[in-house]
Parts: sequence; structure tokens; C-alpha cells
Amino acid sequence: MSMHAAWMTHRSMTADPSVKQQKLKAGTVKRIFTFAKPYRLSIWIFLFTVVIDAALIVATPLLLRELIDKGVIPKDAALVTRLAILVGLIAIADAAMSMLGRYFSSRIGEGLIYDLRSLVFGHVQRQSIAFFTRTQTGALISRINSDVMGAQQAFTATLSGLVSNVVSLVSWCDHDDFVVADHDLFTSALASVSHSN
Amino acid sequence: MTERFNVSGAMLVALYGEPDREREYFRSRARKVADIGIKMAMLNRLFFIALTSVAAIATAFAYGIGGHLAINGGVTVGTLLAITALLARLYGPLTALSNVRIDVMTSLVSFERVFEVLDLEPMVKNRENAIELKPTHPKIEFKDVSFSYPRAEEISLASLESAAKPETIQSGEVLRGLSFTAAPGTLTALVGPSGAGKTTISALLPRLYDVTTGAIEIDGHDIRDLTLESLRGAIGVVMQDAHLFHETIAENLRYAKNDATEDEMRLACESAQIWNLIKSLPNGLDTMVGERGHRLSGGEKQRLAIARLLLKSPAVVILDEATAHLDSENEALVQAALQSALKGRTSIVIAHRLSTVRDADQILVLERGQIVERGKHEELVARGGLYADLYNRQDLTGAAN
Repeated sequence: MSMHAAWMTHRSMTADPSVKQQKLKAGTVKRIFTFAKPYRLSIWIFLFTVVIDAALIVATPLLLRELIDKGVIPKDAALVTRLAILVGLIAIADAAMSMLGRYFSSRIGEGLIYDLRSLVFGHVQRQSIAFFTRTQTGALISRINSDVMGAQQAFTATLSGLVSNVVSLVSWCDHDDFVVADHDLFTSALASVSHSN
Repeated sequence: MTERFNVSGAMLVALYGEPDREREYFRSRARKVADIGIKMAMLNRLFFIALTSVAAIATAFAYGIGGHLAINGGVTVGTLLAITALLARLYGPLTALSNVRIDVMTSLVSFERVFEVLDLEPMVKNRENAIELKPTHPKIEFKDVSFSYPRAEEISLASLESAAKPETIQSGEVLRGLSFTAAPGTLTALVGPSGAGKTTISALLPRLYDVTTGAIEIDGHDIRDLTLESLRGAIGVVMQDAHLFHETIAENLRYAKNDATEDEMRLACESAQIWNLIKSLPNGLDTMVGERGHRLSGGEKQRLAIARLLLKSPAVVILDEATAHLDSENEALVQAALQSALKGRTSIVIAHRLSTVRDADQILVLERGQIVERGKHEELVARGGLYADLYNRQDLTGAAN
């Protein structure tokens, strides 16, 4: 499992499941998209890098299969070299893609944090004195800091996690050979389990 | 913790609190955090071990069965290798996707909490087509003003005041049917017992709150029709507890006038009787005043606040008990400073010490939110009402002192 996938899984498991019960006001999602609007181009580039990254990750095992089946077993040294170099190049391309993706995701994320913070700060400043006589400073600062950070997660971590995982799964399922092989493995596993019982 | 670690909080703990008890209180809370930290670390590790073990077992399983299939010719060796490699990568996305709803909801809830703050309309704001106030010697008029403090739900968000208890009783009318006129360039004094509504009047003029009924006018304009910026720009306030930011003296002074030159600051400080002190400090205007100006005495802070007001040079001046807690030497200096602050300006002065408002052009005596007497000092003393009563009592204590 890649480090990113492990981290995504871990993050998901440590989140509080009670939030699923939370009722959202109508129009919240639509409103969020208005904040994302200035970053449309960045979001598209970011999603493009995520898709390429996910596809590259799936491509490596496929190349390794070719390397063994058509290179190692028939003793085709030239093919082995070519495919090994290709796998290496893919690894480098993968690293470059993930750097590019990280750059755009932080541009979107940090930009969003900046926009929201500036907006909340300006708005709080315009509140009447009565507001400050009632409000707890700590609670207010937490809105400007932690909630704004939590909000931008939607655009980076969640978005990239969702897209890259879906792409990985789709690439996996799209490959007929693997589905067949997987099916074989699965039925054999079932058979062995039932046999042992 | 933030409350106890600012200067006032720390001082209160040092003087009144028992540091041991405070420390114990903090330690018990920190212990809870530490316990939760250990639990979290253990659960996280357990989760990671489970995750990696399941992945490893799944790989072993795939190799085991796939190996047999490869021997029998069911799959090629390359396919077996590719499947095991992909299996490890598949496991992560599957688990992550099953939890994606929680992630998305966490983000959405955070957004909603931010929107909640953004949706809270300020109680006091500019009207559409609000006009700029350009006063030189403005006339201030209170017309049948009544006021009650707003209820909690009108001003704040319940989620931002977790410790505040819901208010069940509506605070009654603080001001009732108040009418008076302060002529241009004159001094109006507000006197009366505590809780009479004097400070509330001084808060209504710069629109810290809006009146409940009636209207306040400056030069014939309802203050709600003026832009807040121009209204507040025309009013200078010095309060009993002069607040200074934790910055240098110069930065605190420039808060009133961004582009004030050193000469302007010196002139303001001279008029406010504080220049000699600033001059004697090793860093002069660049001296840090400490949190809330704690390095300065009450009188020094007060005079610095007056210098700040002079730099702002407002058309209207409000002094809210500006000399209440000063010793006589400081008071003499602050009084001298105030003389220059009030010169030619329409001013409203709240004072407990009636000796400070003897020369006022009009004195309004307030009791329970209403004006019960008005006039000049001599007239009010001669009338023998509440003012005369307050004055005589102070005079007696003054004589006794």
C-alpha cells in the first residue's frame, strides 16, 4: 500500500463518525463552490495530476507482468532491460506528478484558507461591541483557525483521495485479465476454505 | 489559560488565587489530555498494525493460492506478481472510500461553522446611501431617546459563547425618554449615581449601540444616516480604563492618526502633559508599553490616551470618568491635559467628582435612565435637589480629607 493510501485510510478511520449524522443547511455545498470558483484552473490541473498519478501506480504491476512473462521466462534480455527502464521512468514521472499535484493542492488549500480567514476577520471586525461582550475569544479564534483549516480539507485531501482512489479502482476493474485472474483466485480461495472446513 | 496568562489574569492569580490550586487544576486537565494522548497513540498503532497485517496476510494468501494456480498453468507468473502488487494498492483505496463520507461531512460541517459566523449580520451597520459627516463645531441633539440592551440571540451565536448562560430576563430600559441639546463648542456634563445610564449615553453617540426608540442627531442628521467611519472619525473618547496595545508608544499614538509625524506626536504629548515622561525614557517614543499598557501608571496611560485623542483631533469629545481614579498630582496634570483636549470642541463629560464639572455649560443629572435635573452648577446647587445633595456629600468628604 502506498504511503498516501495508508495515510488517507488512517485519517478516515480517526475521524469522528458522529459527523455523518450532522444536518447541513440547504445551499451549503453550492456556497462552497462559489469559494472554489477563483481556483477552477488550479483544481482542474490538480485533478489531472491525481488521475495521471493513479493511472501510473496501476501501470507498474502491468509492466512487471509483461517483464516476467515475456522477458524473464522466454529469456528476452533486451525486453527485460527496456521494461525495467520503463518502470524506472514511470517511478520518476510518478514522483514529478505527485510534486506537481502537491503544488497545486497547496495553492488551492492555502488560497482558500487565506480567503476564508480574511473574510471572517473582516466580518468579525464589523460586528457591534455587543457581539464582543457576549462572545468567548477562544471560540472565535478557533473559528478563524481550526474551522477554516477543516473547511479547506474538502478541496485538497478529500478531493484528491476520492478521485485517486476511484481512478485506481476503475483502472483495476477495467483490466479484463485481472478481473478474470482475480475471479480465479477468489473461487480457488473459496474452494480451499470450503475444502478445509 | 489565555485568561490567566494575560497581565491582569496573572496578577489576580498572584494576589488572590492560590498558585498551588491553580497548578493542580491545570495539572488535572493536562493529565486528562495526556491520558487521551496515550489512548490515541495506542489505538493508532493498533490500527496501523491491523492494516499492515491484513495487507500482508492478503498478499500471503494471494501468493499461496496464486502460486498453486501458476504451477497448474491457470495464470502466468507475471500475472501472479502483478496481482499481488495491485492487491496491496487496492486495499488502501477501498478502506479510504468507505470512509469518504465522514471526511466530506467533516469538511462540510467546518464550512458551515465558518458560514455561520459570516452570516451573522452586525447589529450596527451603514445604511444604504449613508452620508459622510463633515463637522467642525457640531450640535448634538438627543430626541426622546430610550434604550434597552439587546438580547443575547440578537448579537451573538450560541455556539460562540458556550460558557455564557442563556439569559432569561430581559434587561429593562436603561434610558427613558431622554432629550437634550449640546450646543456647538459647549461642554455638557452627565452626573448621577452609578447605574443611572451615563456611560450608556456615551456609547450611543458613536453608535456602539443603536437607540431603541427616538433619535440622536449631529448637525441635524440622524446618526444612523451617517457612515460609521465618518461618525466615529468625528468622535474622540477617553475612558476611565485607557486601553493601549502591546506595542510602542509611537505605534499606540499612530493608532489615532496613521501618518502622524514625530513633531505632531511631540506636540500632542506636550499638550497632554506626558512629553517629559516620554523624553526621560531611554527609548523615548519607541518604548514598549507592555500588555494593555501595564508598564505605565494609571495617570500616564490616561495622559497618553488624551495625547492619542489630540492627534485624532475630533470635533466631538467624550470623556467617561477620565479622571476618576487618579491621585491629586496626576489629576492636576490630566485636568490640564483635558483643558486643551476640550478647547472649542463639543464635549460630553461624565464625572463622579463634581468639582471637575463645575464650569460645564450645562449639567444633566441622571437617575434611573432619566434626566431629573438640568442647568448650571450654581443653579443646581441653589435648587437643593439631587445634584445639591451629591455635591454637598462630596464637598463634605473633600473637606474631611
